Amino acid sequence: MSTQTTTSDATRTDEPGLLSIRDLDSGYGELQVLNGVDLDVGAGAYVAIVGPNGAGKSTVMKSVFGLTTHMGGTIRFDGAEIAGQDPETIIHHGISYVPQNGNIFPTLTTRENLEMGAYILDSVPEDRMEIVFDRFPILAERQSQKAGTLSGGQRQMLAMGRALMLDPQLLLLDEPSAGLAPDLVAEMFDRIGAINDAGTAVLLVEQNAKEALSRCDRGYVLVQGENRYMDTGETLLEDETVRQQFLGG
Amino acid sequence: MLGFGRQRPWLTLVVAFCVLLVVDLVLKLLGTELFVFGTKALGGSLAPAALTAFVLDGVIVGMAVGLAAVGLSMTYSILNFANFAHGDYITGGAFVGWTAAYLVVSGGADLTTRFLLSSNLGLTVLGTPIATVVGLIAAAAGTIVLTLVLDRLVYRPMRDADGISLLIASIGVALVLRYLIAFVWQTGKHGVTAGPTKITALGIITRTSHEWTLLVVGGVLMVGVHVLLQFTKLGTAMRAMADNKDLARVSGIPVERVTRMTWIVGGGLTGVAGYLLVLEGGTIVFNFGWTLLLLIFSAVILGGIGSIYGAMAGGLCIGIVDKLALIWLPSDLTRAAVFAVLIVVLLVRPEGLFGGVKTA
Repeated sequence: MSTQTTTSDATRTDEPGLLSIRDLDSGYGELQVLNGVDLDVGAGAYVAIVGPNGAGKSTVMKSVFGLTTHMGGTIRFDGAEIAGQDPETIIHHGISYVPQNGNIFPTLTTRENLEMGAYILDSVPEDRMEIVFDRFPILAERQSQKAGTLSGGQRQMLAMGRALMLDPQLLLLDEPSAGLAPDLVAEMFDRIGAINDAGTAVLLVEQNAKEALSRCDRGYVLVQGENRYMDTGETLLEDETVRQQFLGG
Repeated sequence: MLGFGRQRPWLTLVVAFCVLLVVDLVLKLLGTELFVFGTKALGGSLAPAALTAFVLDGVIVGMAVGLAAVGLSMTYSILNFANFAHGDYITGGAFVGWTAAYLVVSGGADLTTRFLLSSNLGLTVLGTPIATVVGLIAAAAGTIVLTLVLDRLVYRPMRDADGISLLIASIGVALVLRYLIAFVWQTGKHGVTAGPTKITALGIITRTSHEWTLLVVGGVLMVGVHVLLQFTKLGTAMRAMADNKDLARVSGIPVERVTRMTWIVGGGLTGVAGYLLVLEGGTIVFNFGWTLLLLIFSAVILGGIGSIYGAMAGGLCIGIVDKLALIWLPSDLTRAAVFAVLIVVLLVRPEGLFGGVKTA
């Protein structure tokens, strides 16, 4: 399934932008991390941000979700300017965010975690719950179990499931493969691919650059808070400089 | 330190002492005495009815302490700081409640007397039911208003500050509140109730109407808190916030609104606890909440800091230990027994009885 997604990128990039970031300056308090970042995610696209530690990859994602100090530039989502809004507002636009750490409520049951994902709705959307359970059958089995007792892979699924409860147009995933056993990493990427195939745009930050770039439509290489390279995932993987400098040869 | 309690000698000593107490208790109930080297070592006499009376006394005190502890534990787990003003919230709620009850009750007192609680109008649950209920509601409402105003003025501007800063701020709030109360109502003790009627339930348990009120209202509210936390969206969101505030925010949970609701629920329970303690004890004084705070903190710590069910259980435990200790100790020393139990629990189980499970 990964080959399909990597070959469809040429057409995808021409689609009207769902998320469009221009000249973004952003950081935390006084500390500026991002410097003039541009980034586009088309409707239904699969975009990965890779780069060395401390490059500001996660900061891009947090900026989109209103978790940083906005310092300049624009973030347009689905035609509306969202820069500087708070997460409680942004989630209503159709963006969901899965943080890297602490992305579940450990003392709540699996089902309650999912219910909290749909907090902004008046009632729990049982149909969405079913879709999430179809996508992650293990969560259905464990629905009355405390989330803190789930395994690492199951927690990651629960975190994504929680984010999918609102049927977002754009899913932000911060290092979904971090801390997973090697044999689970490919499975996790398969699942993300399936979510994307179902029509949800995915913006992904990854340490595991090779895996991420081989799956995505488009990749950004971020270095020291600036975009250094942008191309299809496949091209970036084959690019000699990118390989040497950022993918370990 | 953590491994300290797991060391055998301690545990053995504690277990041995507990066994000794149990043996002694059984001998006392049987009315037999055990002599070692000619001196009475164990046993004595204790009527079974006396034992049940001690336990029930403990449950009554524990219920009020538990209610107040739930309020404290809720703000601890969801807002992440130990609120030292909690004791004075109890006092504040009780004064508001009893003043309201005094204003409503019929009788010959003038308005100043009523407002300042300056003479005992002898309220009872059965004699003046409307005034008592109005007072109860006013105590809850008054404490809610008090907590919200103080949250807005003091705690909200420093929401992102660390726990220690908030704790120190809360000590300031406690002092201001206590002496404002002293300024209005003076520092003397006010008697507010008359001797309540005794009521026998199930044919065997005889308690005053005020003790029954405390038991029933306390029990209902504890079940209510359980239902709120487990079966409502708001309660789940409160637990979610206690678990992971950042994730709650990115899930779209309105963090400020849930915080406000936490103060409302916690404040309401605290006010009711204060009001009922006065109903049961019969007198009210400007610092009674403050003097209870140590006991309430013990309940919270015994149950496991941040665990709301732990706070309920901790309150009951402390109440029962406090009264059961009367079997062996003079009444002045029962508080010491409570803290001894607290220390032992913390040595054996540093996270508290329900520790690590937070609100669940």
